[in-house]
Amino acid sequence: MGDTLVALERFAGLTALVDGARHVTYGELIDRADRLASALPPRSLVFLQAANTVEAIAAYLGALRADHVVHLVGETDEGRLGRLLALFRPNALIRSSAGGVDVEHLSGAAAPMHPDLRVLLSTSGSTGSPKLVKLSARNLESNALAIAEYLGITAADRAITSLTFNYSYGLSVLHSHWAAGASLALTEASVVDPAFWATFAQSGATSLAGVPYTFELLARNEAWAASPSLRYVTQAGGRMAPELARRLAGLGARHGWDLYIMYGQTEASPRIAYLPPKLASTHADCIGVAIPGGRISLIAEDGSAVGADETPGELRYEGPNVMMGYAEEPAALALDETPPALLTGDIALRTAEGLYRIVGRVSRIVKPFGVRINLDEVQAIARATLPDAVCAGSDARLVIAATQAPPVKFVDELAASLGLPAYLVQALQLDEIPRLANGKVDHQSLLRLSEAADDGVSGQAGSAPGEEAGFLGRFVHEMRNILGLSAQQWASVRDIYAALLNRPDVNGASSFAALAGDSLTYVQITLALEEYLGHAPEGWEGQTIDELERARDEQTAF
Amino acid sequence: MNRPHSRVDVGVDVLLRAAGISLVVLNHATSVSQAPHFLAGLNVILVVAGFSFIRFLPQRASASQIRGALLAYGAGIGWPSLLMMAVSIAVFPFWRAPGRTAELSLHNVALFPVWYPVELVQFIVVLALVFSAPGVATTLARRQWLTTLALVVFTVLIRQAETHLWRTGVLDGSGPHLMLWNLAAGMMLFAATRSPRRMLASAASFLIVAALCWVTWGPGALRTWSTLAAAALLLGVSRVSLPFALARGLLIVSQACLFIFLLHKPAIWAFDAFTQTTDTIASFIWALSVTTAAWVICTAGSRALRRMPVGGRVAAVAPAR
Repeated sequence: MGDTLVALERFAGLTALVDGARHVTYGELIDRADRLASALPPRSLVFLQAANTVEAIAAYLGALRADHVVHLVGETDEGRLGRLLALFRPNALIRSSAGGVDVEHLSGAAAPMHPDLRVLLSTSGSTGSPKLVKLSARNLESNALAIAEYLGITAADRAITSLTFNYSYGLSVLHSHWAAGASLALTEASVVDPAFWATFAQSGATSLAGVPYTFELLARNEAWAASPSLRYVTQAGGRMAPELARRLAGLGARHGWDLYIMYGQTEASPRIAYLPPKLASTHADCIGVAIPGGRISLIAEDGSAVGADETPGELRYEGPNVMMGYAEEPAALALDETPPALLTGDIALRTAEGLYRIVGRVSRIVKPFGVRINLDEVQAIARATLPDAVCAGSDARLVIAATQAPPVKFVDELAASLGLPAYLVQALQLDEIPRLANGKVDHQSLLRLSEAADDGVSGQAGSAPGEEAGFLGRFVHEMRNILGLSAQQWASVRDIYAALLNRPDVNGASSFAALAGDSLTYVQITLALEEYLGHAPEGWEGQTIDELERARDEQTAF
Repeated sequence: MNRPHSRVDVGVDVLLRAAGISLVVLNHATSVSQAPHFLAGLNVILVVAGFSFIRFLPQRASASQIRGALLAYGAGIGWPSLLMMAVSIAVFPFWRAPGRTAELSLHNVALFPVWYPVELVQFIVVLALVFSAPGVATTLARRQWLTTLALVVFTVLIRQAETHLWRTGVLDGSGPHLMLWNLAAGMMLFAATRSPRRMLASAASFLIVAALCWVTWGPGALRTWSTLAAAALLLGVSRVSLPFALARGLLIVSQACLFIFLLHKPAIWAFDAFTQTTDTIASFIWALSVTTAAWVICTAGSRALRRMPVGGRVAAVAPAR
């Protein structure tokens, strides 16, 4: 590994971590890291459970310094972890525990690994399958330096751990701060927990990193925005609504901090683009420009480069931070499969100002009658009439759903504007837009609701199946479901767990195992998942609800 | 609409539970005068229960999580069992049954429907005692296979000791304390599949189960071979793909396992009393069907009462022409 992320002796006297009242210097962190890593055989494959603790971070640093290859796993990935352990046969598993970390020495039969390989991360969309992103020292260092440069991170900065570092976004916060000799304030509390903001204030943190959902939560109470030490806020991990971005930028302007809207993918270690903060309020719908050292281009459907402004094409990224390829089996660890460029799967256009704006995903393109329709564009058109409209579709239909009643001519006018026959377009008024556990719109549920409306399954408009006929009707409906005479209509994995485990309090991090599910409910949920997902993934009982949803609605953008 | 596929992947443990409970019913549907008996189902169910108990624990479960899961497990099984015990005692006071003595012995109790709930409640109590012992749950969380192996040894010792201490009449070899090692063996089998040395642990687990079956029941016993078959399937085949209709039937029986377990004997008694026949097959089909139907009705009623609304509800449809 190069010096940037491991030769931290140059910062030995500076604070690296703040854990409550305890300040850990880089020198102390290095000592602790080297002690932990010395117990491992040379060039080991190490699975490390990431946690926002001194010990877990020291273990990670130690593994990097000792030239080991580290796969970072989350705390709730047990089912998946078991499969990965069996497949990749690492030399050691380091788990976080109350007393620090436990090093479990395993078989020692790890496959040969490429000398440049340093870190293995899960892709955000593939948590249900053993597909890891291979990252080299060059990938990680170049991205850390680029981030530190455009954020202007100095040794005086202090980020609070609002994300865990098994996520590429959280890892980039760690790396970019190491690159600048800056520090991290450790907390495992949620941003809505007062303890989080107490830690923020006590530690004098200067930055906050969040995904869109973070800021949707924080939008309910804006007191946090007045934190006097706050210098900047970063947002990545998906597209944030421009209105919310503008609101955040306004808050920042009022309280003296900057908002950085960022874009990336785990495959790019992860950062690809950022929006300079001075543009956050005026170009809140843009991802900005390529990070230092990177280059963005757009590729048309026929493979040619898009030259003109405001013309959509698939976003292509080139830079030293593009991964070494994927590892789906141990043999891939020995290979450097760095692609010439990263095709992100996102459709973007370049504005006249030279900023890039994401307008959809390749997977959000449908072709009814061979007409290329971008569902995100349709959604934007629909929102002119129905402000909270969302759009789902297939090659056979377009569905617009909103909580407001569509005007009488809405469907005809929308279809005409798209050049489609009106019978392909359906508008649904819903009490609530169905969402996945991670807050994203559940497009598959919209399609199913649309089909149900077509099939007349609900018996009458205004009710979901079985809900319209009182207890007897529901009883008959449930009997039919149990006997397999009709298919159950599930809106999400969360609904399945809530209904069958009788646990309305489940959340995205819940798993069947963690909810103390038992063999009596296991079968019911297996069947429901078969019906909802198309199959019940191997080891689903150990996966979280979010992971199961992601397995169904794969989104690779990060 | 979520549409079922033509084939469904079904966990082999689910199928084994359905097979196990069917064997239990078949065994009791068999007229006493007829041979052979099918004494094997409960062993298969217990092995699967042990397998499932650990499977549904978070892999890094803390001691308190394990005890919590046990408590939930116990509550799920214990309350219906206690209810069934109360009803059975009220309806079928064993001391009034012909041919029974008034002595409150396991032998007497066992021949009434009450035996099955008693069996389950005893399991919960024994498990709770085992896991409340200092260090057991903690060790299980850290060293699953070795801990479960130790549990197997412990439960075998219980069996050996209690056989000498407690005569159980016709139930010798069938009391819950005597079959607890089946449950521990199921735990060990699952722990083997999670072990870093999976092949070695699996082979060792299978051989241990084989040896215990051989010694306990002998080489020719149906329960020896059915338990070994269950162990082999649990170790080697995680799922099987079945046609949806067949899978649905088996899954319903599997889900209804507790109901069938608690209710099948009264169902058989009722059948025998009303039909005055000893037709094994008819009695088996009746008992399995009626108890499964009872589960379907109760479950549908329960779900209808607490049905959760789906996330998005079609409130109105602007017509697509």
